[in-house]
Amino acid sequence: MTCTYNVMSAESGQNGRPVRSSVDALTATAADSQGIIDAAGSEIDSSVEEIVRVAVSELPRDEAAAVESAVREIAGDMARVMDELADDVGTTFDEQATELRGLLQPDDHDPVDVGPAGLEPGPAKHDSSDADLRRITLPDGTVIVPGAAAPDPVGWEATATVDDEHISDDDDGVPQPHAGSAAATAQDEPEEFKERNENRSTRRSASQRAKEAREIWLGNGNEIGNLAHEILVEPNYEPPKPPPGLDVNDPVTALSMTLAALWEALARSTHRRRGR
Amino acid sequence: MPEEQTVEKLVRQAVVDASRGDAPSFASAIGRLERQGWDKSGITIIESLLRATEELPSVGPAVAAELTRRVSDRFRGSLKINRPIMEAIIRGATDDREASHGVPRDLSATYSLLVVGQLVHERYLTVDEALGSMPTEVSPADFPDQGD
Repeated sequence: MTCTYNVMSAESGQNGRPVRSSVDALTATAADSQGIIDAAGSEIDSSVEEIVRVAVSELPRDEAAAVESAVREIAGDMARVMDELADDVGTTFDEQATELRGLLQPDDHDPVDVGPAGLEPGPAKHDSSDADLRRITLPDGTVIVPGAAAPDPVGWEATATVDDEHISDDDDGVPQPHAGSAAATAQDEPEEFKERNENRSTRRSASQRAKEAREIWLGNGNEIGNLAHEILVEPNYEPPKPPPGLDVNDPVTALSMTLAALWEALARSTHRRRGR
Repeated sequence: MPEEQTVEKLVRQAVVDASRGDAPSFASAIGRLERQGWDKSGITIIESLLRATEELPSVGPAVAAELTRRVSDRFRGSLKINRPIMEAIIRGATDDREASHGVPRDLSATYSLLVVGQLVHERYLTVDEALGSMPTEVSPADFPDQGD
């Protein structure tokens, strides 16, 4: 069974391309840099291409935007390094730096789609960017729980930390309901809820509600399957171990750290050339 | 016990668990609903979502985002919640029907139960109000294009 739903691509057109076009340009340039690094005995095992592919290919578009942002920042740093390299050792890195600087121009491509059409940013308290970075997305897109049968869980992600405090938190200061309190009586309701109830204006008739529910249900896609198991965060879950030297578990940080290592290797290369 | 009552009881249990923030019990209820087959409870659950969201003072993307944030925060570390999909489900029940089109049925039902539980938790309505009348069952013939 295949899950074909991808909420981030709904009604969004082909806006995934800008991320990849910038990445492709960076990758091509960095591939040249890789040759120098290899010649200098670089200790870096993964190419920029591989890192970018892993970091971006399976991400929802809003996370891909975060990755792109990280790429832009690192690309800026690398451009400056390459300028120094060009000055110091007379290489042709100036062309590459120019190319990298081109990635920093916002007019280089269309805006990156950050969600379904019409989905505006939430209230100030809705810190979606923070949430995006907090979540774990496995590079191959599989469900986070090891060993679980997960047929193509597209877009399936999980919270990264266990914070029991939040389980019982009450956002509005409303007392946490106790067992049985779900059937709260009207006399228990705070004034604000009474007011809300008086303002009901979107009620459907029973038949209209049933009709709409049926239409919504029929519009849903195929089941993921085994959801009861997949939805529960296992208490003893340990995220996959990152590559040696990278103590991270999210693609943005991994990308930043790896490119930082690449930068350091370039610096070492410069140092060795100067020593010749 | 008739099957309908069993399904109603399971849906009720899931809503109560969601309202209480009891993730393990909620997952257990989801497992039982899953074994029953989502087609037996799906429309009932979506109807509950419609009833619950009718209690909101307003609808729209910002409300969907805020409601999703509250659910996600309450279950952080205990349940995996994909915010964009939950927002799409809420919007599909309120201001933009197409937003939830194509969401996997089991994910739609499960997230809907969490949203209903959240609104019960915040006392927008009671469990009885959320559940209303009980199940409407669909047959496989209703899914001519979605068979495996």
